[in-house]
Amino acid sequence: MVTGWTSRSWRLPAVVAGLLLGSLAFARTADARQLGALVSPGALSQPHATLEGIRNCEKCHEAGNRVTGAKCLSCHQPIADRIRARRGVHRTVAAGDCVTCHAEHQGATGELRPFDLSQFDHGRDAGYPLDGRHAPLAAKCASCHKTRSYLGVSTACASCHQDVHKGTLGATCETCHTTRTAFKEVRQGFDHSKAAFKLDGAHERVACESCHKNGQFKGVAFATCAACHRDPHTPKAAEACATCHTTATWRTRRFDHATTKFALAGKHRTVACAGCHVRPALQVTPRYDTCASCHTDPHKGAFKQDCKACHNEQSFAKAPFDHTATAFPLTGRHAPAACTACHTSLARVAQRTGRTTAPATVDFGGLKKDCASCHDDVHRANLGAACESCHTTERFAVTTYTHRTPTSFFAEAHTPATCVSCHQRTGPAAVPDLVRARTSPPPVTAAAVSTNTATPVRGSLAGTVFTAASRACATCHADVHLGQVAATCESCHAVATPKFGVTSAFNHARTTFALNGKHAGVECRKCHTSQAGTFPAGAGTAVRLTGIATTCATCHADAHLGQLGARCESCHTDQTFKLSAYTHKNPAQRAFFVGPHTTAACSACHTPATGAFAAGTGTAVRYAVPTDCTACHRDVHHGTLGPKCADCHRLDRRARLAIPNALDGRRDAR
Amino acid sequence: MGAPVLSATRSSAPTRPVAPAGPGAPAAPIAGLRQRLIPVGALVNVMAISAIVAVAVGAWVLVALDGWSYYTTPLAVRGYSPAHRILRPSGPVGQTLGVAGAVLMLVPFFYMGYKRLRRQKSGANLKRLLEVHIFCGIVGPILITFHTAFKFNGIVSAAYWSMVLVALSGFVGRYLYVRIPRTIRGVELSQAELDERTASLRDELQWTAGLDALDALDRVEAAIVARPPSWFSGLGDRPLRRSIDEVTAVLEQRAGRAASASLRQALDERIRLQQRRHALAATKRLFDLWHVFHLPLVWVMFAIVSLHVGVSLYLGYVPFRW
Repeated sequence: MVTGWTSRSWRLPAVVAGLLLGSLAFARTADARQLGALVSPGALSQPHATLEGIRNCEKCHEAGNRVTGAKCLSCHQPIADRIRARRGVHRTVAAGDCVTCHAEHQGATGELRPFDLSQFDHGRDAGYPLDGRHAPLAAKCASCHKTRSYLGVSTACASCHQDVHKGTLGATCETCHTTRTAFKEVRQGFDHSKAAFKLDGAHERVACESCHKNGQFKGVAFATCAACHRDPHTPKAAEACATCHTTATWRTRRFDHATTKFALAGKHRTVACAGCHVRPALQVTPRYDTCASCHTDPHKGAFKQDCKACHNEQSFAKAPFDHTATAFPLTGRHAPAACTACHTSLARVAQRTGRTTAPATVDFGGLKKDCASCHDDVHRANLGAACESCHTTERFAVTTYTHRTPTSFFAEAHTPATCVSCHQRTGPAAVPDLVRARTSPPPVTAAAVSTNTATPVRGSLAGTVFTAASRACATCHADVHLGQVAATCESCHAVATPKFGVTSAFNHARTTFALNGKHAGVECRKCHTSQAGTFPAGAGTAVRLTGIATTCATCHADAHLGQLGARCESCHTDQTFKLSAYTHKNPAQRAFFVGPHTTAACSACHTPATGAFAAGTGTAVRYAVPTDCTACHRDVHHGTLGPKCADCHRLDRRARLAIPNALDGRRDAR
Repeated sequence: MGAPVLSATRSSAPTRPVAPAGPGAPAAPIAGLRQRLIPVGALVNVMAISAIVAVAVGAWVLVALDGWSYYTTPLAVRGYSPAHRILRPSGPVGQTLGVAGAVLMLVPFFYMGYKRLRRQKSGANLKRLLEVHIFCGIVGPILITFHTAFKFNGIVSAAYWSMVLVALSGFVGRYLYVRIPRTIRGVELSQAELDERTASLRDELQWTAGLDALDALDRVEAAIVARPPSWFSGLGDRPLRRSIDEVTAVLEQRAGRAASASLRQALDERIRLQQRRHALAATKRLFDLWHVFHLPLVWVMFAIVSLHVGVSLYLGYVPFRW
């Protein structure tokens, strides 16, 4: 085995020992700081730089216990206080939990305080919210935090702001200033009502500097208005500003005019002061005893200055004038009429000037009472000037009119007629031109029945000229008889008759056919039928009154179909159509009508039969009847005894068969 | 030093029982010895596994735990990264990585002690131990790197950089290690064993390809020995490579198709062994010096880490107590 330091067995320990010895030598020559650097896992951050060095490890590290918060907090006492008090950023951390957030040994530039501004709420985390104008400073910590520590900054305004009031207003800046407004804008913060001089009205809008000049906020004189305001009145109004002015606005006067001799009422209250008071206001007292001192008289003295008779202070134009006191009281439709409707001079002025208010000159005189001074006479004077005989002020349109004379004419059938039934406007409807009474009858129309005795007016009568219409019937009525009757209408008709019916004045007996018996009760139209044809007045349709034949056949049909001739009256009368009794008069048949034949009913022999008759084929009672027995009697012998009935049978008055003597014995034997 | 060995080998060759050379003849007796030698691509698999594990750990930390954004965050504000709580060196993941890395780094340390204690006992499977050593030596520094959170401060950074140097030098050591012929259990071959092995390979070739075929091999080996000893394979030497290919072609032609694979293997090993035996003295000398670099750094590393761990434990940074 080779000995010596070069031998293999010594080489390794020698090298190791050399390295270790070198390290120790370095350790001896190095100072504590350098030694610390040997075992340190990294340089401490700048704020902790004084803690570098091997002798300082245990200032932060605790043997066997890593880094304890207690060691940190023994230096960072303010933080310890805040953790204990649960305040600020550290309010939620445990006392020993520093290293969770604060990493050390990350080099001299190592950041000890990670600060995420986006997560930082200065109000929540620092207890002092940065609001209003402070808000932008949230991103500029150094604006307020001048030292490395974020603690120790006072919330007192003066810690950042300079007191421009130089202490005269105390330290409670927030009395006047807020963070929400500019520093100079103190209105929102300062409540001037707490000051001796409370602001109201227009004073609230005045800039602070207007009163607080040169930054003087205390001791500003305010006892009199003149302290700030100049007195514009001449002579000076002394100190009684408040008598007229309020703080609401300088222009609004509070003067109580009622305290003067001229209390303001109605429209006078709205008049600007200067409207009456020419400047200088206090120097001149306007005359108040007459209206004319302010108002000009548009009536040019016509009313002798008695303005109050018509006008009041509520409205000059719409005066409550009592027209009843005048010679022409306004009633009915006149009452609501505008003044200018009659007082046209007023209307003309208003029309010309376009003003509805009182014109400069208003003439109320010269008006007459008669209707025509305002109303146009649509009747063209042909009804006279007494309008009120038809019209009332209640309603201009004529509602009712009663014809007074002659009474007989305006009765019964004429009462339902309307005015225009007789009185008709002629010419174009829109033109109230000359209107005459009816000259030709209108078409016959059924007039409505009215129980009113007064004539109702239908439709507009404007423009109708009510000249005296002719009372001749033909004026209104058409001749429905078409000239068949030559006599006057009154011969048969009367106004008083209902429905214009024929009156008792007409006597049928005067005609060629007096109505007797049953004819007297027959309705006219049974004989007088409406026919179309030629009449004296021309062709047309009318009830035929004349030229009717008086023969029975004109009206009655021949039930006997010509068997008995045309002389009906030989059997019938007008008393009753029915034949009451008939005696066969034919001498040739006298022998036949004996015994029972005289009492037999007509119908026993004359029976209705259908067949050929003198007037034609039809059904009628047959009057030509044969007299042989078999015509009526049945042959009970069945022809065994021949046709000569009279040989055995005879008619006697007892209406029995006269049996010959040959049979007598037989009858007796029985 | 190579020439006498060669001549010795050659001189001993006739003494060996000469079997009739024939194509496709079985080489069973020789194959047994060859199986017990460490293979040519030794330790490649464990490095691949280590790389996979390291990549997996890296992906986990960088991606799953968002380590990429954490490590790239400037140091000054890194303390407020969301991943700081778990990935900081004293955090649940960071410290666990540190502890795990330290444990992994202790494994090669024990390997060293074990190797020294059991140097004379060939029974230990040194190769398996070396595989574990390499695995820990690769994965450990990766874990430690993430434990540092890429913050290298104080004296403990000296330990870290020592570890980095040790780990990097491990790759060099592994290169030198495989250039020293060993049995499959990792025990160095003695000179006699080496001679025997090269001789038996020659015999195998002779059995397979015939006596006269070795002339070409002898020429190649002479060329190798003529060159100065190289720590590199030397196979990159193009003329030499060409002549080796020629020899291989000749031997394969003689051996026939069936035996060409084992013949080529034997030829490769023979040439490789000759090459390494030629450089063996130089390699061993270098390997010795490598230890002088590799080992003291390990001691420095452990000394400082002990301090680091001691301070940490003293201040309460105890594992699994976060």
